Amino acid sequence: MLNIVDVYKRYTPSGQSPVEALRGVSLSLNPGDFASIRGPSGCGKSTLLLSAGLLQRPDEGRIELKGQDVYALSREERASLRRREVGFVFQQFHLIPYLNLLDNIQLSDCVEPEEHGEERATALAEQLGIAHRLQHTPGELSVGERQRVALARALYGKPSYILADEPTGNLDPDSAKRVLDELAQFAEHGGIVFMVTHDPEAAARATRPFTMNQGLLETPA
Amino acid sequence: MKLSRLFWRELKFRSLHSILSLLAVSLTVGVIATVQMRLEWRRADTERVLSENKAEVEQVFAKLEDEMRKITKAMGFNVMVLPAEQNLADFYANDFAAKTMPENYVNTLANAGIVTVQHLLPILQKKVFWEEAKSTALLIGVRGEVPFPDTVPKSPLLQPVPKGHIVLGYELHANQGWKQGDQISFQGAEFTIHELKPQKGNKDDITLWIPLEQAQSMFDLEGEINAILALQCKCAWADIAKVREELTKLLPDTQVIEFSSRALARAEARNQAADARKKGLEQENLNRQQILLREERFASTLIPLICLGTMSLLAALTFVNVRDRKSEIGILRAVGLSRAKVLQLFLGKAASLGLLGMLPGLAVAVLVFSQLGLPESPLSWQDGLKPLSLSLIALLAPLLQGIAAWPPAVWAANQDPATILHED
Repeated sequence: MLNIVDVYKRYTPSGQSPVEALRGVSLSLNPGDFASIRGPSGCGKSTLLLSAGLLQRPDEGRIELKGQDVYALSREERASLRRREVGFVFQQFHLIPYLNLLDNIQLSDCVEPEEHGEERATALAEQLGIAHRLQHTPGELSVGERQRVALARALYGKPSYILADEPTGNLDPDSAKRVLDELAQFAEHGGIVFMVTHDPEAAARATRPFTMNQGLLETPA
Repeated sequence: MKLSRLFWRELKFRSLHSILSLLAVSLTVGVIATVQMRLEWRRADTERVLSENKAEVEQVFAKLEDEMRKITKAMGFNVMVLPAEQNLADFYANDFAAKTMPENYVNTLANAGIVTVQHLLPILQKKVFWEEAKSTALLIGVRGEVPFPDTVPKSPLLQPVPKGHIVLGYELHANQGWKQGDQISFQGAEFTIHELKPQKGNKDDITLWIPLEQAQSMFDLEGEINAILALQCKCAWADIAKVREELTKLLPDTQVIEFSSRALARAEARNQAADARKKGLEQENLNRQQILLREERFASTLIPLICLGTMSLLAALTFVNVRDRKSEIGILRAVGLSRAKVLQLFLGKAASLGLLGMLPGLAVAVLVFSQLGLPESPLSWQDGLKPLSLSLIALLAPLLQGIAAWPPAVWAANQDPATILHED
């Protein structure tokens, strides 16, 4: 369902020689897959994640979602597709500081309102154990709670897949476990999870673990 | 969660930035509106003064015309009928007409019954060198007034000079020691002094009068004259053209000029007074217009400078806002917000701040303007409030904000979410 086909991506940092972040990466993920990618810093993990998230056009290769080459679409069409199909979870949460928890979860309603959005957002907050904080702003939440808000925001739009970039990087073990449990549950219910992590324990939760090195994807034996 | 909610919450969250933007807009609108209101007031006041002055000039001239009509009608005008071919430049230079016309023209005029003309006097006028007295003199041959048939005789303005007599101007007799009744010789002919004129200080002082017939004979111009004086025409000054037309219709080969009438002198004096008043008013108008022009120039320099300064400040504030909200932009793009929507978010905020800042700005401007000391005038400060100007200024505020926010808003829309999310 999510096919990454022979993708290349090169950067030229200012004043430096070009860097090949992705060198012919191919990967196919299906509903129910919980994929993890481990690797050293700068190996291309996040680049692959952002390309899969329709945010960064590869130099070569294709990324197909439900058989459609997503980078053949216009910017507007891709933005709309991202709203419907993709959920993001980042290490830094990227919550909007002046919106309360409920509004942060419902952020994608700015683009296209979800039907019964508030009910769904409240249900997700309950599911993630943050319902008592609905009117609080991110600054009033613990780090673990913030990541759960970010996860609720990712789940809110009923995406086909969730891209998680170091989702447990800043969390204590209990919070990390809870987030990983939720991601696993999402995959079990037919979603795709594509997680980038340094954490071996987090990577161990994946049903399809990968490693990445110098822009090349490797499947562990 | 609508975009507007995001907008309002952000406005509240970054209150310092919002307040600074609002203050900048309010201050700009306030200053521009105050300057504009003062300018509008000045325009209205100048227009009022110009209009009043115009009305006064019209009134002065209407009154003058009316007075002139009344006064000059009582005084009468003096006109002179000259031969048509007489060059007027020569006439004025030489003090007499070189060309002549038949003497019976005066009878034609008298018989025509022109009601406006009171006295008719045919003359033959020449400038001569008086050999015996060794003096230049102006000779006038006169025959007295020509009576009008079918009208009651009027008391004559000039008595005729009896045959063989002469009347002398002051300069001609003063040094000679002559007395009335003395016998003197003029151009070889003998004359008895009929009258010695007192000093007048004009051409009359070098003039001598003899009977017309003798003058005609002296110059071999029997039956010829070179001017008819039509004295004390009873008409208004404004009607003098009609008199001229009437006379030249009767005598087509003549021309009519006006000369040394009291009415004309009075008219000229009054004209001069009216002209002086008109010039005074024109000067006042000019002064007013210059003040207005100075204020317009001041406004046309100040307003663009203020706009430019405010736009620079607003642009800087919006750039700071975009920089502070990079993470937001990244996540908003990640959840599917298009570039156009990001642009709309920042421009919408700018326009809204413009509108919000405009209202207190206008209110303060009206308050300041109402308390501002205005030059003495029957106009009140409310006369500076022009709805069109104020509406344009009201539109200017969000427009300025929008223009100032455009470059940073485009910068925000062009932010690469991948780079932002990757960097963080």
